[in-house]
Amino acid sequence: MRQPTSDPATAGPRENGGQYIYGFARAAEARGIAEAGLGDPAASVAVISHGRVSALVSDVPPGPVRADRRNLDAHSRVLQAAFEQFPVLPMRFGVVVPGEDELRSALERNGDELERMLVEVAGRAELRVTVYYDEEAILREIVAEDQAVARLREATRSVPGDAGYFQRVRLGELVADAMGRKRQSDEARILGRLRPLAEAVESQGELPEAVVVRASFLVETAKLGDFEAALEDVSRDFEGRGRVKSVGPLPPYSFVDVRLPPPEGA
Amino acid sequence: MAVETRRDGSGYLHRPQPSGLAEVVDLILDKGLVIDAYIRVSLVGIEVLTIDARIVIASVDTYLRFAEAVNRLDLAAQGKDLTDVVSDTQEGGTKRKVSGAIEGVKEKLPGGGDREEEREKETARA
Repeated sequence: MRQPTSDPATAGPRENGGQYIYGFARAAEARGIAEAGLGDPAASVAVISHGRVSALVSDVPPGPVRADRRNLDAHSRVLQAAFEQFPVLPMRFGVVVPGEDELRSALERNGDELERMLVEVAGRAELRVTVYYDEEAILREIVAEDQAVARLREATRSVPGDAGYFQRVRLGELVADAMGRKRQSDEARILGRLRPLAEAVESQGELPEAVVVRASFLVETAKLGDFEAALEDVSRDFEGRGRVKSVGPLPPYSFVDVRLPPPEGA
Repeated sequence: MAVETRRDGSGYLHRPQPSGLAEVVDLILDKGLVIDAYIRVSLVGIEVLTIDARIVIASVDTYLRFAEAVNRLDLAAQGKDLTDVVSDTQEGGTKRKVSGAIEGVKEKLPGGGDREEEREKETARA
């Protein structure tokens, strides 16, 4: 049923219909992926090569392809499975080319660039780290460390309702400021510990209040152990104040954030 | 393949399975390679992604929430055993901590293909 192949001449019984692209790999390394592709029933994943670069694709099922859980999950799983076998450039969800001819033409135009990027990500993985504050613990720290906060807290606790409104706003402002300073220094400490172990870092700037850091690190496979050890350090450092969550190793989504030029006449 | 591991001695380092959709859905939608002019998948369904905007810290509402939160603190309980704090935190889990912090500031993802790095997506309910 599934005929993944790297030989374009026998690339399976597909018509020249739309091809959904999961990612690119070097032709010498690309293999078929047993993981189920998009659609219901799931399309099988095939390899289409042109020159030194291959695309992992599946036939676009008839009708609209929905960005639903099933399809998002298929995209993620195919790429995860590929990434575990060979270097891969993950596509963003939802890229379809009209047919195999257009795909080959895209590989023709962008082959050199894709190959260069594949060399860059080879032997590397994305690790995604999120550090959360335990808000109550941080508020306790602030009350303990900041006398103005402690005083206003006592004052506003005994003043009910609207009477203490402006004092409460002031109290909250002081707390927010103190928390902002803590985040800055905690973020610097965390990144200072992890950054030296990574080839590149993509840090997300705007975060929910409870998140201290959310960043993706491109880490050499050989350094994954060191990175994990550093994460354990950070984690111990935050004991009682927050939690560290790490996802990965993942395909390097955050480090191939590139738009290839459109085809001529498109 | 990395799987969920939780090491003894450091209960704070949490590693979900990397292929868990909730953990990577924003990467799949916001990052990764794009070939311009070839985004033809009908992104129907994206709108059911719930995304959570960041609360702007410098707002009176936020100040009042913080004021209420510090006033609620029972400082007498500060001396409670560290292990209690630890287990509280662990039981809290990501979902509760996160949703507590973003307090229902939710909006619909406005169609596919746009990019707003500021937003914080939490769950896909497709």
